[in-house]
Amino acid sequence: MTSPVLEMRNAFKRFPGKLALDGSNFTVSAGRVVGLLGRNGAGKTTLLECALGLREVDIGEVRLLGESPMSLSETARSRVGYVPQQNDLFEWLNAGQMLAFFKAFYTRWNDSKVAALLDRWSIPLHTPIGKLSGGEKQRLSIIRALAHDPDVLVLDEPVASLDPGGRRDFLRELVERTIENETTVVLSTHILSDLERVASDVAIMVAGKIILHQVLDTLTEHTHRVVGPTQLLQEIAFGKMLKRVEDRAGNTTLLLTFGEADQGRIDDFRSKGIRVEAIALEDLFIEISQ
Amino acid sequence: MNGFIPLWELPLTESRNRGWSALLVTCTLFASMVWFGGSLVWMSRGMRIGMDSLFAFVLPTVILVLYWWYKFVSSMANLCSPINQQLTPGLEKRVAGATCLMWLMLSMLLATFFANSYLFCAVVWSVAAGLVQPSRRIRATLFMLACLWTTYGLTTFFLQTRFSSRPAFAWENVEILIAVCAVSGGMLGLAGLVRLFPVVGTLFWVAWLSSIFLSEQLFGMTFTQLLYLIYGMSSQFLTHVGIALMLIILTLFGLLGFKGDLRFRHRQRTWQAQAFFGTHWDYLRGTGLQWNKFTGYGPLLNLTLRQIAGAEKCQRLLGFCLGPGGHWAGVLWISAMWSAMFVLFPHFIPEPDKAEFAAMLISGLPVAFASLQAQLGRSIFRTRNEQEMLALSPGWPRDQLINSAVKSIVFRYTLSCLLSCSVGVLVAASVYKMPFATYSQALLAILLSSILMFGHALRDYSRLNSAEISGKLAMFAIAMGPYLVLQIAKIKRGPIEMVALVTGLFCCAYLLWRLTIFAKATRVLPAAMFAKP
Repeated sequence: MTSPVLEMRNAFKRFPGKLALDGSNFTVSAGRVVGLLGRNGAGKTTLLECALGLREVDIGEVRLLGESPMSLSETARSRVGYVPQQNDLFEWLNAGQMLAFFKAFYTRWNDSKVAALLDRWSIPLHTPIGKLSGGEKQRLSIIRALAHDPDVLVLDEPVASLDPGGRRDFLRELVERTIENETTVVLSTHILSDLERVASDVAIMVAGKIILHQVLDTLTEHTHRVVGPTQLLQEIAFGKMLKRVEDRAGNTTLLLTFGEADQGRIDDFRSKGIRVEAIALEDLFIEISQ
Repeated sequence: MNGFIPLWELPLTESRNRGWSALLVTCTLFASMVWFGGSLVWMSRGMRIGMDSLFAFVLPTVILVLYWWYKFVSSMANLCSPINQQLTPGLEKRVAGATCLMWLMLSMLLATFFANSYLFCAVVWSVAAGLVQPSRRIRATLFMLACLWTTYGLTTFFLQTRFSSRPAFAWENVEILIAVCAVSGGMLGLAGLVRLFPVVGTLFWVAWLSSIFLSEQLFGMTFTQLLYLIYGMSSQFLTHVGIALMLIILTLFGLLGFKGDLRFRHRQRTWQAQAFFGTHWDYLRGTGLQWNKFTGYGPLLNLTLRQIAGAEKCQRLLGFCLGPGGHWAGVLWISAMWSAMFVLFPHFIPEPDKAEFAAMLISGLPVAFASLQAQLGRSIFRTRNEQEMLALSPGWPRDQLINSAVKSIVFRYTLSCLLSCSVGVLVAASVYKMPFATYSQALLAILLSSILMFGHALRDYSRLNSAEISGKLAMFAIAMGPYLVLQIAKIKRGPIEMVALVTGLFCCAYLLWRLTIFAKATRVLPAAMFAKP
């Protein structure tokens, strides 16, 4: 069994007046594309920054590519690509200068890929970065992160400033060139439709904790909303309970994930008048994060 | 590293024309820094010391040390228990607020009853308390009040020197305080003008300063008289109303400055009028340095240059004392700037002994140096995102062995500061015919401060831990110690006074330590960049 690319155990991170990470556990295996979901302020950016060693956790253990992210070796660093949430990068340089500057750091730099992306995304090479639009800066940041063909790509809301066409281009690039090369991707986003197109796994973060981390297909195919009288749903001895809510009318709503083997039990439920319905990722996210 | 291109050699040249106005502002800011530093040093020399001052210094020291200890202990506990999560933020605010308020009141009482320059204590402690305040607005307000207080105390001190029979807390002094505030306000207003109209604004500013200087030289008009003429504050009533208005406005501006820019529309353009000591909120939000931006004149210099010059390239070049041309000729410019400042500024002050005032400015240089240190690290790479990008790039130094290019630029910066300041001191010494003892001490202090600055800047690239913080404190003591001892040696007092003074100097050291260390030790800079191998 190969060691995970990223492993975070019981990580705590506190800022003045706020606990950003509250005992987070997060593991990403090689080749997986993990979509990190969470409401604003849930701690996604902090988690990614701690994973990369850009912030130090107060308590807990983090390993990136088998090393402590606080002292990543040069080899490990050359295998990591990162697109931050904010892209105020070297605004006094132009795009060509900035890419040339970063090229000097990497032994592996895909010039043809950079040229193709610059051309396809119409990034002006000689305009100062400070004068580019938000979307152009974002695209440039993505190009910079992809240019050295990283093995691990961390994207913190990479498409937030992109128009629908730009998002589609980016996702195409991500799927066709990056993911197919077995690159491990951790992608934080609020756009669930994009996530469903590219992610293999989904992790949902609430109040500084990863409360759900599953394979996306399993999650969407095997997670159901079960609604029925509380008496009938008192004890559920199968599947994984994600959420349970009881109302005053004596009804209970469950979010349950169960496998193929439990299909018979579902049929039993239905025969008793209990409502069992599939749930979309967006609804699931809202239900869990509330 | 093959193909490494230092960032600072890549600036575009399109906003070079703004370099001149930035240079002018730099000059003014440097002047305020040395004034501030000089007033601290000279007030500690000039004040009358007794049991009351012992209380004045020792009591807040105990409170602050206790508070410090409290914070240390709670951070040691990692603040992860539910109880700490609930109690700590509230307690911090209450303890800091109580410390601050109690001390301000105590200082005011002492100043009122003993009518001397104990306001100095309030200056130090309001700044120190401001630094430990969790709220940026409170910190900003306190800092502003501290600056005003310094100005007031400085004026009082000079008036005491001139008219020994005059009580310190006299309305005449307050009038001068108002006048100085008015000048500050005028300068800041003009700074805004320069930002909006670089050429016209700069010319207007130069004309305004020249008129003050010439009116004194040609017509014998004192600075205060001139201000009365300009601002029409010739009656007591207006003066007192002015006091209230000025404080309210400045406090308001301080608060607004931390909330964001004041924006107004004119002819379809949105302009930004920066508030007094205001900060560019968007900029701060991007830097990750927001907790520390108000901890010294260095960051203030940085921000103001950014606001007025309008481009970080000017700030970057000037930050390295390389001038708008971006090469060693800039050292000559900065030398000329220091020389002009030391020679001309004493003429703007209602103090008959110009040489004495120039000496005071010179004695403030080490404080200015200490403040400038904070600027350096941030000048190289502006935002946290820039630092993040570099921290993740292979080959970029993440350990204590800093990149040779960075080391080179730090060395050039230090050397140019050392040379230019020394030239300024020597020019002022020759113009005012200062005794050797006066300017040799200043030169020694500059040299020591340069060593400190160089070492400090190099250490910025290493990860800070408690041992290194102690090391920095020791470094500060080593560099500043001889200078302070020379200053203390001039006061021939009893043991109680010496204890009080040493405690006061400890407060100053603590303050400076906070100014420079606090910025780097709070993990706001990417920890990865400073990680040990």
